[in-house]
Amino acid sequence: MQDSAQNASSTSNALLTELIIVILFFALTAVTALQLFVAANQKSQTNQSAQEAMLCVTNWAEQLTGQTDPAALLIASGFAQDANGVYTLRQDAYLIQVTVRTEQKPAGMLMCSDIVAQRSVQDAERPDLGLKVPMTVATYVANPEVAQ
Amino acid sequence: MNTNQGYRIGPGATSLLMIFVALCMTTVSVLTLINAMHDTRLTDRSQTKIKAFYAADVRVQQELADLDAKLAEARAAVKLAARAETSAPEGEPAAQSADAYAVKVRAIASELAAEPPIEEANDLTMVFAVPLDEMQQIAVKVRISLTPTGARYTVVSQATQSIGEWVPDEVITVF
Repeated sequence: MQDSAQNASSTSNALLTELIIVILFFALTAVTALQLFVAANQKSQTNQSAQEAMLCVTNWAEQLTGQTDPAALLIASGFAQDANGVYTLRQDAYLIQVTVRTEQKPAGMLMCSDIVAQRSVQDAERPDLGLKVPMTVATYVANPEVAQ
Repeated sequence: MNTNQGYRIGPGATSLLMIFVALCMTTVSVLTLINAMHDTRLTDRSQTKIKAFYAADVRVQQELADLDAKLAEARAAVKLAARAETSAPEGEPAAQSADAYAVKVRAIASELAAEPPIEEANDLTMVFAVPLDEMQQIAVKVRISLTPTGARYTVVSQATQSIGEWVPDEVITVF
């Protein structure tokens, strides 16, 4: 009778030990998996933001390519010009900044537009905070009066 | 005598099941991370390609500016020479300057063109190329006037071309 009780106690202890080990293993794996999921989610969000920012930039780059007066187009599209001459527009979660430069060439002008799309700083919990995508487009405008 | 020998699930089976579930979770999370990393690589490559295209487009505009500057310089030189020859009979300076300008335009086009320029009537069509990356370039077809009046040049077309050697992929059967 006593031996039977001892056997039952020994089996219970082994079972308890096994359960503790399995639960610890499960917890450890769950934490690792959770960290991997979080890292994957952050990367995914960063990718999404980079793609959206590039889409914004290419959209404006296409509109500004071939424009002989990019400033007029920007103003007509709702951009506001600040004191430094930079045109800005809030577009969804992005701030689009365009700087228009004019390079004088011997027989005309090269109208350059530096476009930057920056993720809004209001979304402070995003891992891609401050993401910037720059791009430059240029259009050469010949002066027909030169050498005529 | 107890003859009940039926199948019974022991406590170890649940432990094994938990370990299996944990391993499945880890595998899925690792695969998710690998997928996100591949997406990052794809996004980077896409951004690099797009930026390279617009950078090449800026270089095209600079090449056009350089071409236009050379044409304007040629026109100015020819007109200056024509004005200096005012003692010649009326009508001759204009014809001479047109010929001189055409010679200069041919020289400029030969210098810049990727292929031999094609001449038709009063125009000369040339193609110049700006490299985009190792496999692509932007080819610009420009029509240049051979007469020293009117528009100096007109851009006929601008297109991206493949310059790399085409190697058929025989590993994957597409259809």
